[in-house]
Amino acid sequence: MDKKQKRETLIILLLGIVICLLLIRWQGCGENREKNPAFQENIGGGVELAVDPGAESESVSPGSVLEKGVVIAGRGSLTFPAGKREVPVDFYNPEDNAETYYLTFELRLLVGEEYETLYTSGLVEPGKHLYRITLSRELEPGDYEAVIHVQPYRMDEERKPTNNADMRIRLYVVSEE
Amino acid sequence: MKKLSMCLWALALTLALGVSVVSLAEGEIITQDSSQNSGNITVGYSVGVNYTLTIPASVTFSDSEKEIQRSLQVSDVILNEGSSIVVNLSSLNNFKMTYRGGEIGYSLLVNATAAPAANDFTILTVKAGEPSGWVLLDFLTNLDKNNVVYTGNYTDTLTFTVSVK
Repeated sequence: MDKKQKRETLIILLLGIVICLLLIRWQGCGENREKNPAFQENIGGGVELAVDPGAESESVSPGSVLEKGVVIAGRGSLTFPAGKREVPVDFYNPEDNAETYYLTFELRLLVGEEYETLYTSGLVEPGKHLYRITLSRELEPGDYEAVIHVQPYRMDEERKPTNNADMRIRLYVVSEE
Repeated sequence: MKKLSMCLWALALTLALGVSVVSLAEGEIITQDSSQNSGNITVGYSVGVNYTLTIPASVTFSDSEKEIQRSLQVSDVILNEGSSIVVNLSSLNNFKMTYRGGEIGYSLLVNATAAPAANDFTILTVKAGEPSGWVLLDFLTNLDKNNVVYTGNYTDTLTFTVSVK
């Protein structure tokens, strides 16, 4: 082994020792970080803190402006034949409510100052119509005030009711000739 | 024989055409003997009052969301001349979210104006000739809690009443 080889071996050994010392020091810091909370405080404002990738931005809640409204088809009047309980209607849940809201329909007749419920539907799916309904009683010919009460329900497992709408209408009951 | 058969067919066809009638409409028959060989029918379609209403389904406040904007829209409006659609708003609990005796109040701005101190007031009017109309609703709360001792969902239900006047 000549002089040059000896020098190279010495340099490699010294470098190995330096690397080993650095590794030992770094590991010691890691242990301190875990064991001693004060250590964390000490470096709280320091450079060793990294951005936590698990932290998320504020999520869009169901109550945000992005929530889809309930679409309801409105009308001004209904015409029924007198003396019949089975009558034609078109109670409709628009396609716009697809995958979001069922609708139910309740027909209420104004009698004096009170409303009498003549009909209550089940859940109507989006895109579906009710064309014929059966009233709780027959009606005499005349011109009545009535309300179609529309109650939406969410199309999920809970089927919770949402805000609702009352459509005031004229109900014309006519004699059939 | 073949010629005779052809002649008989021609005669039958001529007789048939001679007594044919043309039906136009119920109750109106014109024959070739009529002095006036024309008629009128009426084609029509009755258009009733119609509109499409879009209402906010719900308003859910949270500690980080104390002001929520919603809109109400009336579109595809078909009305009698001179009439209008009027939309009123009312609250089941007088603009308070309630649960087991406790209540959390909230208020409302209608198109950036404070709503009247009532539980049933007009928020939108759409006149005949206008195809649509909408209103911006701002729901606000400071989460003031009165008699609130239970955890739970504090809720209120809004009813939008539409009248044709």
